[in-house]
Amino acid sequence: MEYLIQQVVNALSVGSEYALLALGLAIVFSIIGLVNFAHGELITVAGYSIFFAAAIYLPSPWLALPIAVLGAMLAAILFERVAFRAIRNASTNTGILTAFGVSIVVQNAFVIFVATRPKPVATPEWLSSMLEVGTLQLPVLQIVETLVTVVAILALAVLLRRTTIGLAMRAAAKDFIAVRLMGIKANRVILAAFAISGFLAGLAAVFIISRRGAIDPFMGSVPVLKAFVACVLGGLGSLQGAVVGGIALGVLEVLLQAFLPREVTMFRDAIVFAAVAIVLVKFPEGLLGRKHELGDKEA
Amino acid sequence: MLELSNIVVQYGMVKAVRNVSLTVGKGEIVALLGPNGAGKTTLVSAAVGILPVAAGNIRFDGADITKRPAESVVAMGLTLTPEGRRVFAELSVADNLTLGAATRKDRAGVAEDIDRYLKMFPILGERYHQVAKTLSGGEQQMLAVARSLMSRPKLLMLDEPSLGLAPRIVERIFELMIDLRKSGLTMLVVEQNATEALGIADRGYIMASGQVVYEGNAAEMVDSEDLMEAYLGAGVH
Repeated sequence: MEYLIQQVVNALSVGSEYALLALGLAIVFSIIGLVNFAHGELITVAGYSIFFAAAIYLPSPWLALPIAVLGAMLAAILFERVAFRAIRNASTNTGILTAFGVSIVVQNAFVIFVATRPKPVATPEWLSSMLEVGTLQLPVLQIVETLVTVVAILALAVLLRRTTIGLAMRAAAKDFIAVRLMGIKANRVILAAFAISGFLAGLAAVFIISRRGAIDPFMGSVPVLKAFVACVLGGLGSLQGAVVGGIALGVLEVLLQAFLPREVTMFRDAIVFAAVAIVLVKFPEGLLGRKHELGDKEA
Repeated sequence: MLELSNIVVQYGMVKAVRNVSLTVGKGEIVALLGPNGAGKTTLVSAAVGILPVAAGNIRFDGADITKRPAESVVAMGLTLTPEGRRVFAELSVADNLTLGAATRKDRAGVAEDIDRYLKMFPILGERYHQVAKTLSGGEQQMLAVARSLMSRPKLLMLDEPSLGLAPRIVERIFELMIDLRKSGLTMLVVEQNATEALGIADRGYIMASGQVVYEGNAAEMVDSEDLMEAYLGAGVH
C-alpha cells in the first residue's frame, strides 16, 4: 500500500513535469504553428542561470528558484526575438529546422564556454527532503512539483479567460488576422506566448535540476522529446491536450517502471511509445486535438 | 479621409489589384462593387494593412499609412469587418466585444459602448455569455460589426456584410449602416448586392479584374441599367 501511494505521488510529479513542458510547447504551437524543439534548452538555460548566479553571488539557495524561472523566460523571449521572428511566415519545416539550430547553438555555447561534463548546482535543501506522513515517506519535491503545476495551470487558465492578452492569445490560435484587426499587436501576442512557455519551462527546470543535482549542456534534449510526445498524444496545439497528454505519459512511465517485472522494465519506453502509437491510430488528431487553421502572422 | 492612390497588390506574379485609386470622404458611405475575384477584398485588406502593397500610396486622416501594419492602422481609427465575419468562434460574445476594444484604455467608455451595442443589437445581449460559434450567421455578422465598432473607428470598411444572409437580415444590416452614418461614421462597403448598397451609398466604384472600371454618383449608377448590366451581371435587379 505504501509502495502504491509512493508510486502514485511519483507518477503525478513526473506527469506534472511533462505537463508543464508540453503546455509551453503547445501554447507557442497553437499561436504560430512552430514546434519549438529549442524548448528543452530553456531548461538548460535555467540551470546555467543558477550556476552562473552561484558563481558570482547567491546568498540563499531560495534565490535559485526565481533565477531559474527568470532565466528561462528571458531565453524564450530572446529565442523569439533573435531567431523565430524572422521566419514567422515561413514553412513549418523552416520553423523546425530553425528550432533545432537554436538548440544546437545553445548546447554548444555551454560546451564551449563552460564544459561538457555536468556541473553541480545547489537548490534549496528542503526540496530534496522527505515528508513523513505516519509511516509513509514522500519526497517533498514530488508533492511540491504537483502542487506548483496545479497552481500554474489554474493561473494560466485565469490569464487566458480573464485578461485581454489571454483572450487575444486564444483568439490568435484560431484566426491571427482577425486579432490584428482588433488593433492587437501580433508581436505582443507572440511574445506573451513565448514568455509563458519560458515561465512554465523555468518552473519545470527547478524540479528537474533539484532531482538531478547537476546540470549539463544536453540536459534539455530528453525532456523536450517527452513534452513533444505528450503534445502529440493530447493533440498538438490543444492546451488541455498538452496537460492531459503530459500527465498520461508521466503516469504511464512511472507505473510501468514500478509494476512491470524487472526483466521487462528495460522495455519501458518501447511499451510507452507503442501505447502512444496505438492511441494515435485510434485518435489521429490526439486525445483532445482537432484540426485548425492558422492566420497570417505578418507584423 | 481615406485616399488610395495607384494601388498595386500582388500575389506572387499575379497582380490582384492594378493601379487602383479610390477616395472616401468624411461622413460618406462609399460602395465598392464588382463581381467575385475583382480584387475588392484584396484592396480593402491592403488598405487596412493586412496585405502589403507592391506600389501606390495610402493616406488616412492626413497620414501616410502605406507601410503601416494592421494593428497600427486600426489604432488610428481605420477598421475592417472582414469577409466571412471571422468572429472568434470559441470565445463568448462578451469576450469578442472586449477584444474589439483592445486598443482602448478607457474602461468606463468601453462598458458604455458595450451597453450601447447591446441595445442596438438586442440579440447579442441575449447571447452575451454564449460562445460565438453558437450564433446564427446574421447574429455573427451583427457581432462582427459591433466588435469592429468597439474600437471607435472613424472609418469602417465592411467586406460583404450581407453575404449568405437571409433577405430580412440583409435589410437589417443596411438599416444599421444608415443609423451608423447618422452617428457620424464614415463607411466603405464592399458588396455584391449592388442595388441595395447603392441605395444607401453616396458614391460607388465598380471593380473588375483588379481595376476600377467605373466610379460615380450612387443614385445615377442605380438608374443606369446599362451600367448595372455591363459590369455587375445578370444577378442585379
